[in-house]
Amino acid sequence: MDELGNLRQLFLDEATDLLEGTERSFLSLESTPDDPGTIDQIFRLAHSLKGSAKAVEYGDLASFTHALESLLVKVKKQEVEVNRSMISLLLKCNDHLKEWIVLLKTNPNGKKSYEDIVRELEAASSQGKGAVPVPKLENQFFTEDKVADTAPVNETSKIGKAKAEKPKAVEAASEDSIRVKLNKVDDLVNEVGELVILQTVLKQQKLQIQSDLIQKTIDQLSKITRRIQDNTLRLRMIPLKSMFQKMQRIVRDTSNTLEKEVLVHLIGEDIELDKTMVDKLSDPLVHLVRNAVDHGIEATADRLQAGKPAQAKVWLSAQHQGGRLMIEVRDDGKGIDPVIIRKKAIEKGLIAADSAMPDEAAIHLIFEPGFSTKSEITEFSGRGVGLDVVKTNINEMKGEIQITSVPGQGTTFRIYLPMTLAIIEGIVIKLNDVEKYVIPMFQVKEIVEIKDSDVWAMGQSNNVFVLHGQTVPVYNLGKILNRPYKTNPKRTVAIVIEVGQKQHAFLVEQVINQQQVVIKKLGPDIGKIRGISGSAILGDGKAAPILDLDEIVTGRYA
Amino acid sequence: MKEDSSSRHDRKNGAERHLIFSLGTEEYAVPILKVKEVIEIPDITPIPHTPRHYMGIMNLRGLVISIIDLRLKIKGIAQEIGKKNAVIILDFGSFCFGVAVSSVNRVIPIENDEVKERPPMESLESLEYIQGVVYRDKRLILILDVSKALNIDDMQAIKHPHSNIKIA
Repeated sequence: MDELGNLRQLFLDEATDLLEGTERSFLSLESTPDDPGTIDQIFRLAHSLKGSAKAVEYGDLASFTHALESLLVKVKKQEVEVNRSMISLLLKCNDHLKEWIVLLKTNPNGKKSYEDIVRELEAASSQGKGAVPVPKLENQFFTEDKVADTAPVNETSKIGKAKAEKPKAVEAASEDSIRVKLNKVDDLVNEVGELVILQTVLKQQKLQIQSDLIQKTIDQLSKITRRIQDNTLRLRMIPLKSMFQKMQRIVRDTSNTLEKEVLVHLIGEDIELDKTMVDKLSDPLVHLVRNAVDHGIEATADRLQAGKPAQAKVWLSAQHQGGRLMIEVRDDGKGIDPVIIRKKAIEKGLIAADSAMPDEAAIHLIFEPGFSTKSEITEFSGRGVGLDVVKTNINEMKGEIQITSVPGQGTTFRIYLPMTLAIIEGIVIKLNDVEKYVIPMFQVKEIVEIKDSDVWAMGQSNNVFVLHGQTVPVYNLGKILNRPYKTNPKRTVAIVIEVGQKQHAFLVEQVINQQQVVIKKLGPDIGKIRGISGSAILGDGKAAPILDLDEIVTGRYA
Repeated sequence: MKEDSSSRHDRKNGAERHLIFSLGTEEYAVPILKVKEVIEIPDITPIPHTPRHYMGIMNLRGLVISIIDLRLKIKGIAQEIGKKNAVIILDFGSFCFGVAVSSVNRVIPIENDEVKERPPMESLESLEYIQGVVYRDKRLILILDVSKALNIDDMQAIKHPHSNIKIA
């Protein structure tokens, strides 16, 4: 690549960051229109974008940012008013720039028209204070000509008061950080993974070594290896901030279109999560957030009638909970009515008409494939993909999702995720004399030792046993996997899992231990085998398959 | 299995170095460039619901790779595991995997014009995986097309006939 090409590449990376910063600032400007800090921040970002664009000879981009800057100058001097439509226009410019940058990334000579949007900018700058028109609550983001032709309404003060928590000022772009390619980090993570495996082998052989000094060194080595592992995995972690911000934007867009007034609270946006997980989490979260605004929150008239404030609230929060990350999407809408869900489920044949399913279990039925309670299709929800897709996505991330709902008061979706995908807590089990398997800890609900006489036959080939008064189907894992197993052991261990509120138990010969394992994919040469999610290298240096018991159980019904 | 040629690059035109190994009584050759390394038969962990020639997975210095019984795969006869058996780790760029063979014998340069075509045969058996034959030192060496013998598509298909786990 030539020198200009290199510089342009750097510019595009930088611009992507800058635009995230400006979007964040525009959104906080909406809640704090008079904060000079925010305006200065925006001004600085726009200015540096313009300067850099000029330097790498992107003339069109520079002219466009120049037009944007001119408007921002007026905002700064308070010559124009910052209101909803102004923010919408600024956000629209931001989107336009983002698309432009994406275009330039794929095609360095790509052109994007900007004349229309510049005209809008000029119109807005020439309006003067108090005269910037505010459109009705309409879709302002995807139509080109709505901004200039609607009646002015002064709602600045209202929005100003409506802010709930003061958003933090955007961090300066010159933070002490370096940009590293993700694959370099991944290489490091893989190598550290190997280091951990070797370390485990060493630790298990420790007692065979005579020398105290070497034994002690192994212990120290093991401590430092763990630290290296933690630090390396942390390299892949990024804050949830930019994803949360995207959600904030989605709430804004969705609620505008649906003519609902919704305020978003973001909590815990500085919490970090594995980059891959953040990427994977984005779609399900978009779905849940749209769902909350579209289905969860009532129409404004209904809210008023129910004696609720017109302005609805959506909370998006993240917090650590017992080694896992909990992400919560909560709304103060109408909640989920278990009666309606039950009725619908009976209609769809998901449950029996006389089913005595408790309310809590009933509302989880909305995760079943093909279940959607809202019959009409809106622009944002109900495109045929439902919450079952959200659940599938979360399950793929080895997480789980739960709902709680109080009719009339709102709905809460809680997503629990492991902190990383590279390492899991696993239970090592012995299937027969030689074969060991790993079962992910998060799938296991309970481990109980049972006697052969505790297992009762049911029908020709099914077995059950009684656990805490519940009758639980029990399967012989060796038989399922078609591997050798003892036919009549005196005692055996049952691994109990729960899939969709139902319990299942798997008999194994012995549980060896619980340990962290580094997940290795099975090669492309072997492909996907149902019931096996990957492999791991155990302390004895041998490879062992990681089982997916959920998949084995659901595979039965597939 | 030391090389008999002193230089890494053979000066002779079109000569490519091949690793010679046995499956039972026959000798086969694979281009050395495809070979990552040769190891003793390691600890192999069987994987449920795979065909018989899929021996399982092994830990190669932190890398999990699959091992296939090549004799069983192409000759239909299971390997008798003994001292001379070895696993050849083949490099397919994006991934590696191992084939278990009866023994690994030597490395020789084979010139292109030395390779004879596989004769047409009246047989239903597909011999596609034999690229050609070389007659040397009164022995016949079959040149193995590794990708065909262990066809990647075929390998991806390993899962299909056996993957329907049923809970009895």
